[in-house]
Amino acid sequence: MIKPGHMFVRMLEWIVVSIFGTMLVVGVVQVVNRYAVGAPLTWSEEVQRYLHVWLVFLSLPLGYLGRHHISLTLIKLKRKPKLRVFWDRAIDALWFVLGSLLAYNALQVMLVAKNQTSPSLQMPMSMMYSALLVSGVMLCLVSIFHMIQGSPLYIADEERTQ
Amino acid sequence: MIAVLLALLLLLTILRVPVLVGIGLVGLVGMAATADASTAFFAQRSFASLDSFSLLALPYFILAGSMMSKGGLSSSLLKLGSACFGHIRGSLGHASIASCVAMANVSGSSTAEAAAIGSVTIPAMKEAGYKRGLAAAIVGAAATIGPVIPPSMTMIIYGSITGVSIGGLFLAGVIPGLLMAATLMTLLYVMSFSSNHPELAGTSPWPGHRAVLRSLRESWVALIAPVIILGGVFSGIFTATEAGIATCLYAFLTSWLYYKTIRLGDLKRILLDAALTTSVVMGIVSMAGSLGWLMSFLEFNIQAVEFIQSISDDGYVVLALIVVSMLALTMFIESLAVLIVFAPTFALVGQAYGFDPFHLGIIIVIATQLGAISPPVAVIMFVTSKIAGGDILETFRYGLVFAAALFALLAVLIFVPDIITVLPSMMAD
Repeated sequence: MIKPGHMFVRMLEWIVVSIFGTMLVVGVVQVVNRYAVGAPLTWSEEVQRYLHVWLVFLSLPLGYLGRHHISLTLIKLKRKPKLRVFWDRAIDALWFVLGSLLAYNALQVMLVAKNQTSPSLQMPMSMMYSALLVSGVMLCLVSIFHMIQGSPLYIADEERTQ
Repeated sequence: MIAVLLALLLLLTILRVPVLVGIGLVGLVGMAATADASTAFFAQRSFASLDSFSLLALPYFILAGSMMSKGGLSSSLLKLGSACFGHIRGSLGHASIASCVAMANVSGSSTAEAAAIGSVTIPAMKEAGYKRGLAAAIVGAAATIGPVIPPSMTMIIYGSITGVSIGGLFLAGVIPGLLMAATLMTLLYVMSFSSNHPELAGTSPWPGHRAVLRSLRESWVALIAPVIILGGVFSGIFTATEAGIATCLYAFLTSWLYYKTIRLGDLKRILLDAALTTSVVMGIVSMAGSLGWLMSFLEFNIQAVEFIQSISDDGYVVLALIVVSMLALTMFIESLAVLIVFAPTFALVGQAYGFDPFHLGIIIVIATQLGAISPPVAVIMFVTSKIAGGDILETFRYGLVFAAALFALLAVLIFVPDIITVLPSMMAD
């Protein structure tokens, strides 16, 4: 049976994949239009830039779920499992702090930029900044999950799909 | 204040806090502690750091590299390296270095390259009797070539934050990258005559031209990629970002239709892997962008330029100071973060002293890489040492020998800028 958490991760994965795929297609259309059709697009660069921001900020929680983010293991705690667990929890707490501050500050910027629109697409800039808000909230959720569960949901999902 | 922030970042790094989290929190603490700087700038600067068309090249090149790796390119490059260098003393080591040069055409990241090439070559070297530390050190040192030969993540980031032409940097890195490979191969060849390394003396017979051609046929996809990238950029057809898109298409079409190593069903996994790698790199770029902004806000750039000007008027002394600073910083703090936070300052210093922007850029890129193989925070050596299953101190011991040779090359590049600037100048003419 697929748990709601797994479904959420799968959905997020598909969103990230779709964003990346769309970025690539827009990029190809941009090159083709400029050289083959001779009619450069005015919106393609902006679309790619904003999709890129969304791609990165939505992938951040996925990366944290699988603990892909770079850290340096200068201090080895293999022989001290209790300390290791405590330390991992402390680092998860720092992720929570970062996620919550990211979300809070993103909300502040969204309020300031609520009347601004992007130059080419005329999209509300608050929509672009909301990527940081969504990412911050998801980072908090993942950190809570790690602190409670202790095992990465992402790996469980990988095993399920194999 | 700046010293306290850097000390805090170092402390968090040592305490195993992920680099992204450490930089983000240090930036936030700094903004909160600085009068007139609101933490709201944190979100705004994190967004602005990614909102750049030049930086878009990075996810595209990561995707292209991911497609080629999935197509089994690492092993085919190693086969080519073994076919070309198998009959020379230190054959497997040479093959590893040659593979890293070839892989640099598609990877652009030293850590990714160390993992991709190391997972294939280190077990083979261990089997041939190489000491674990030596095998790990060879691949670790060779992996530093990745960000110097185009396409390069480090150059894309450097170019996007300093405004130096990314295409020009790509071209400027070709000769230094090849010289780095030649330096490492020469050192390995010399080491093979030492009685301490009998394993390096072993060679295999020359496989013949047919075997080399067969290996070439298997790996031509990777070898043609730089022609698309550099040719496209310098003929004016593509920007660096569009060259990344073209490389993705090329990698996908050749792997799907020609090699048949990728199926359409694999695309989701490949895109997701590339997205995760992108987020790992870009997450740091985003957070470091905020910290870099704070440094500028605290007038670190102006203070640094004034400080350097008070030390010497000699350009070479200043360049040496920049290199030593980059090395010292990257020995303790993750190299990407150092680049984003400090490169604008050093570019400003370079401008004040009239350095060629490509010369300075390549010197800084190489310095960050050498820092990344120098203890204590030698990220690349940690990766290769883990693959080799050896002691990190043994890897450091051998790694320092290779690093010393690359330091000597860096000194030559500092004093002979033409080696770096000749290709961009030719192209400009």
